[in-house]
Amino acid sequence: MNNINEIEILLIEDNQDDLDMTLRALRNSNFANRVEVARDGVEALEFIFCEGRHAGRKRENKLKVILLDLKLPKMDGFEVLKRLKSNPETRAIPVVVLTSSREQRDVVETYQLGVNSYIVKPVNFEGFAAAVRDLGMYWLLLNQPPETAAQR
Amino acid sequence: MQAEQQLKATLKEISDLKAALDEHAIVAITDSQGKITYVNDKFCAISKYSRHELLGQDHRIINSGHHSKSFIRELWTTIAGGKVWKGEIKNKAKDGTFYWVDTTIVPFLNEDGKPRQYVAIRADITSRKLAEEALRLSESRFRSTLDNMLEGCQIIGFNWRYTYVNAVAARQSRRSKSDLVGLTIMEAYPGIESAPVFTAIRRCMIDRISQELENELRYDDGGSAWFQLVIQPVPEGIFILSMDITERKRAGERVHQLNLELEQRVRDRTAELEAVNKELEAFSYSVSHDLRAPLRAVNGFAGIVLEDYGRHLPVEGRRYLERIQAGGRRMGELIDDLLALSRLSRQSMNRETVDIGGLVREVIAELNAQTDGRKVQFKVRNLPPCNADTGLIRQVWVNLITNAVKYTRHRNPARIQIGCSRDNGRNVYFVADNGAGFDMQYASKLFGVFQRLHRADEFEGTGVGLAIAQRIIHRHGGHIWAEAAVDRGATFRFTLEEPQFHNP
Repeated sequence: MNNINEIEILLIEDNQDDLDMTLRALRNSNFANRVEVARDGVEALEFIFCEGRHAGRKRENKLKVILLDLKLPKMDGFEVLKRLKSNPETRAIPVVVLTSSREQRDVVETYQLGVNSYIVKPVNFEGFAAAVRDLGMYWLLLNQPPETAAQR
Repeated sequence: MQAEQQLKATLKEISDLKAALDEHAIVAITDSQGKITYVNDKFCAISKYSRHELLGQDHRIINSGHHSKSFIRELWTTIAGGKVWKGEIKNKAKDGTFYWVDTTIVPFLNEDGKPRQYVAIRADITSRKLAEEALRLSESRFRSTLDNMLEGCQIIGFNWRYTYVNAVAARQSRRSKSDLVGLTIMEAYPGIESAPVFTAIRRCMIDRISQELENELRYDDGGSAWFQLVIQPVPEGIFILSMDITERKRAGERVHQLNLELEQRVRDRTAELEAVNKELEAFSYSVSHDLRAPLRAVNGFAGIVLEDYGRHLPVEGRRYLERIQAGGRRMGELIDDLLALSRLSRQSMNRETVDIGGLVREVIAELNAQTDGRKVQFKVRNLPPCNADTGLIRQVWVNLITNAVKYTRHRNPARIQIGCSRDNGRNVYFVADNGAGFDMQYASKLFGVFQRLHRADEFEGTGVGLAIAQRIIHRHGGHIWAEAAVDRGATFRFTLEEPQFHNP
C-alpha cells in the first residue's frame, strides 16, 4: 500500500459493497491514497495501537478521522469507540460513525461514548457518494484538530 | 292412782303433740275403708270444704284427676299392706282450683296387723309446684324455639358436657343428639384442645366473654364444612350458635383462585407481549441495519455503472439502470416508513396541553416551502388546544396536511380548510381539501398499512402516512374517519376524546 505513515483516514467496514463504494467516493475526491481499511474491530485496534499485524508501524501516524461501521465481526463498533474514547492517547482522534441504521438508541449510545459525528449511509447512490465526499472534505481539509492529536 | 296419773300425763302429751301437728300440717284420718273420720282446720282451709261436708266422704271428693290409676293403686297397695306412703299429690278444692300437697300416709294397725285407720299428714307445696310447672313450660317453649332454629344451637355446661344440642347442630356435626348430649367436647372431638376454636370456647367459659369466629370442621370421611360460630356465656355454661358458611367460603375461595389464575394469565400474557415486543424490536433493528445494506449495493453499483460506463451503454440500457435505482429508492422509502410505524408503537407517550393552532401554522409554513411554487390557499379557523403528545400529534397534522397538499396537485387554486367543530361534547378537528378525493366504497382501506387508493404514477407515496396518523390517534384514545367523493375533495376528521354523552 501507500506510505503507512501518510495514512489520514482509517475506514473500518466489513461489508465489501459498502467498502468499495466508500473507497470509490474517496478516490473520486482524491483522498484514496491516505486510506487504510480494517475489516473488523480487532484489526482496527491493532492498526491504531500498532499491535499484531501492525506491530512494526511507527506510532506517529497522522490519522485525521476514523470512519466506523457499527455492525462489525469480532468486536463491534460500540466497543471500538469505547476503547478509543477512553484512552487518552486516542481520545482526540475524530470518529465518525457511518452506518445503515437510524435507530435512535444507536445514535444516543454512540454520542454517549463520545462519537464526533453520526452519519446514516444514504440508500441512494448520489446521496451516498456525496456524504462520503463531504465528510472527507470536512475532516481532512476543514477540521482543525487539537495540537496533541496533530503531533501524533 | 299412779297409773291414772300417768295416763293423764300421757294423754296430755298426745293432745299437745296433736295440737302442734295441727298447727303445722294438713291432717286427715280415714278408716280402713277410706272414709274420712277426721280433718283438721288446715285441711278444711286448703280444700275449701267445711268439716261436715268432708266427714264420712272418701278422698275422691278432692280427686283432681291428675294422677293415673296405677299411681292411685300403688298408693293403696302400699298403705293397705301396712306400709307408709310418701308422695306429691295434686288435689282439687271445692271451688275447682288445684293444690299440691306433699303427703305422708301412715297406716295404724290393729292387733292382727291389719290397718285400722290411716293418718295422712300433708304440707302445701302448691307454689313450688306451680313454679316448677311454669319453668317446665317456659323451658319447653325455649327448647322448641331452639329446636326449630335454622342455626345450630348447643349448650355446654361448666363441666364441658353437652347439655343441649338442636337438630341443626346435630346435623352439622353429623351425629345424633343423643350421641352428643352427655359427652364432653373433648370426648366428642378428640384433640380439640389444640384447635383455635377451643381457645375461644375456653375464653367464653372461663372469662365469660362472647367470642365469634369462623371454624372449619373436618369430618371422618375427609370432607369439611365451614361454620361461623357465636359463643356466648349463659347461666348453664356457654351457648354456641353455628351457621353453615361453607358455600360462601367456597365461593370466596373460588374467587380467590380465579383471581390468582387471572393474575397468572396477565403475567403470562405480559411476558408473551414483552417477548413479542423484543422480537419486533430485534426485527426492526435488523431491518434497519441489514435490509438497507444490500439495497445500497443495488443502487450504488447501478449508479457506478451509469457514471463510469453510461456513455458505452445504449439509451435503453441506461434507462433500465435508472429503473433499478428508482425501485431501490422506493424500497428504501418503504423500509423507512415501516420502521417509523413500528417505532411508533414502542415510543412512550407524554401527554401535555398542546397549542394546536400554533402547531398547525408551523406545519403549514414548513410545507409551503415544498409546494413547488403551486398556489395553495390555506384557511385555518379556530383550533382549540388539546391534551396530547406534542411530537406524535404533530406527526398526525404533518401527514394529514401533506396529503391534502399532495392530492390537490391538479387544482388551481388548491383550497385546504383546517378547523375544529363540537360534536357530542368533544372537539373534532378536520382537514378538508378540494383535491382528487376517493371513492367511499374503499374508505375501509384508507388507514391500512401500504394501502393506497391511487396509482403510484398519479400520486406518489407508500401508503403508510394515514396508518401512522390512525395509530397515533388510537394511542390517544381517539378516532379518525374520512368523507370524500371522487374529484370532489376529501375531509379527514379526528378526535382525541371519548364522546361525553350519546344522542338518543
